[in-house]
Amino acid sequence: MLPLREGREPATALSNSSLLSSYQAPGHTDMSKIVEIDGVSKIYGGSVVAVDDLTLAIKEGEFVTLLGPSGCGKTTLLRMLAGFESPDRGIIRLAGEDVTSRPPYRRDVNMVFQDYALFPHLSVAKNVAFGLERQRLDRTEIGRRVADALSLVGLADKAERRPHELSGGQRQRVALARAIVRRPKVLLLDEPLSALDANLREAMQVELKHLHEKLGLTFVMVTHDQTEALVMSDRIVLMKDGRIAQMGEPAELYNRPASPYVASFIGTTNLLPVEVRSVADGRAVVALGGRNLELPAPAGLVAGHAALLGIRPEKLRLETDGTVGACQISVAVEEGLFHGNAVRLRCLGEDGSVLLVDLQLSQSSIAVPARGSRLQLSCDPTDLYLFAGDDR
Amino acid sequence: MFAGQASPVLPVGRRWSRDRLLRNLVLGTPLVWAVVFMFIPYLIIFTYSFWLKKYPTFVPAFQFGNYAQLFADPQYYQVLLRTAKIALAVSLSSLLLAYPFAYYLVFILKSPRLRLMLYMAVIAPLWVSYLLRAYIWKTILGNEGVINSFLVYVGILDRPTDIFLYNQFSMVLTLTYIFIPFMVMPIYTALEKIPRNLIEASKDLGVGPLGTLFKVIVPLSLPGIFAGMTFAFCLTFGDFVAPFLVGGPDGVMVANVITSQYGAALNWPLGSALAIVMLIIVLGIIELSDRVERAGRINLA
Repeated sequence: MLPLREGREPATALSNSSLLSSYQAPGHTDMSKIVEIDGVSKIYGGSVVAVDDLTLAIKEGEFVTLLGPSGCGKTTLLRMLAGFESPDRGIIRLAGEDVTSRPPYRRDVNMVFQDYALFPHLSVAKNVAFGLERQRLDRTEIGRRVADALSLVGLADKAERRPHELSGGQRQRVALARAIVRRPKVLLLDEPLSALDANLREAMQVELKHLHEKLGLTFVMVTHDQTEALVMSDRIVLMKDGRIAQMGEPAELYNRPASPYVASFIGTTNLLPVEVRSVADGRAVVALGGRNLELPAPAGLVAGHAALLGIRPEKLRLETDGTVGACQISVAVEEGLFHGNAVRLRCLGEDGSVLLVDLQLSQSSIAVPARGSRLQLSCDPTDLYLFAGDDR
Repeated sequence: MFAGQASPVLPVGRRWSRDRLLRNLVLGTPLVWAVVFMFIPYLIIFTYSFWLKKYPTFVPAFQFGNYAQLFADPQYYQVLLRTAKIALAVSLSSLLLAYPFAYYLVFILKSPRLRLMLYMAVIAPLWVSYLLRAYIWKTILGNEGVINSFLVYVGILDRPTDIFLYNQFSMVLTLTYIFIPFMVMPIYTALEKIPRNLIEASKDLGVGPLGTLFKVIVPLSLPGIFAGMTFAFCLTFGDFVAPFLVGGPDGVMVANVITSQYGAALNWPLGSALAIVMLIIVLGIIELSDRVERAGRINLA
């Protein structure tokens, strides 16, 4: 939907100066790190730790998503990048410059606010021009940049409207245009799609991703929606209690979760308690469904203790032809939820644990199992992951 | 309207008429009150304004002599101009005092308790007798007053001066003090309604605190400013106690002239004409401010 005619801008005066400043910054070696968060903590009211000794580097041009449940500190971290909050400890560097104690109006970052925060007394064009009027630009240059930004988000014909005359999606685009028109070093997005309805949200996810590719800007987005994070980001930083639970590419977090918390926050995961039989040479033997399984052992796993075994619902298969897989689980179907292209079965294992199974219905040969029927499930050992702790 | 629509589903007309009676009572009582105690008196004054002054009293008539006299005799239109000047001075000075105060309460003060206390400190004098509040300034500004005593005590003055009292300055000061709550209240409400993220957005876009004040906060609080200015202007315009207590010979305002026409001068027709002119001016200002406010009304939702 976005008419993305404009390619990546050639080096402008702005990006030249940013380059210069990173040269001048002492102790700054890695040019590609546009944001450096170094040991940052934020404590509210003397006791509530919102962000806890967090260190994170963001590369230039990267799309990083801060993901986590409410209260995990992701919004506080974003607001510290914007300058609305100041860290109690630690340093924030932007293009190599220490900006920790700089007010928001002296930082080369711009934010797309959750509820857009458009100025109700100004037209769309004036909203977009708001931040340009402080930069020493002449009127024609401001007009040109505003028109460019508005056509980039497909709102060229709405320039003279007031924000309250626009739909939610259009306001979102104005907020976006207003934030990118100043060509910031980093674009911050605070739950940018949360106020949109489901269909529009999906369309905007793709548009934002394309916009990121076109502009080549660094995007830092905050969201609690894991699907959004998986779809849009180059890298996800999953947070918990003010710390980073795991960070990496979306596929990495999905396929190799570092903890039960990550496994259950990103996608759906069955977590089965298992007993560790032995641990040796980085391999562990655990008991599952009366059979022993050998799996790569995570750090901290102790023989004789309980551990958690994770498996995604879609990685479980039905044993139909009687062949015996590497690992087997027998379950009883409790409930089947029809999803159109798949059916999600809620099953009970022999030990009473709940197991979710996703069956793709693309092959017409698969019939939806009836309630109460007993199933033999199998899976690949490579799709299983073992967790030492019970950190959910 | 509601009762009328609902009537077909109700069993009989009895309930309907009782509903209507109740509704008419609720709506009618204030209406009757306004008609009996406001419209009729104004109407009487309006008719008086056409009557003829005939020594020693006045007689019914229909002529515009009283109005003509108001605009022909400089004594009268100058008092109107002076009243407008003082009203403007009072509304501007209370705006200049009230806006920073309300701004401080809303945006700078962190403690909600302290905010409430300071807000109440401004509003509380409204519960003290108006006369008393005006009289207080006599004891502050007067010959034997606090300021004079202090200045003589520290040796700046040899003997008390009377420059503080009985002039337009003392009137503007007193009226500003009396009407400032009416300025603080609407401005405070307007500022409180401004979403905080608009201020953050402004700063995020590189605009510092001062720019944010003039480009975001002031434009969005204009309704409060207009409301406060209208209150202060109209209340001052009709005031007659402050000129009486702290105003001097150059501090006579319209209301004082009206009082004297009804009293010592015994010229009710002229006093009535003046009252009607004053009413028209005040209504005009209210209408004007209402229009400006409506034109600039902004949807903050």
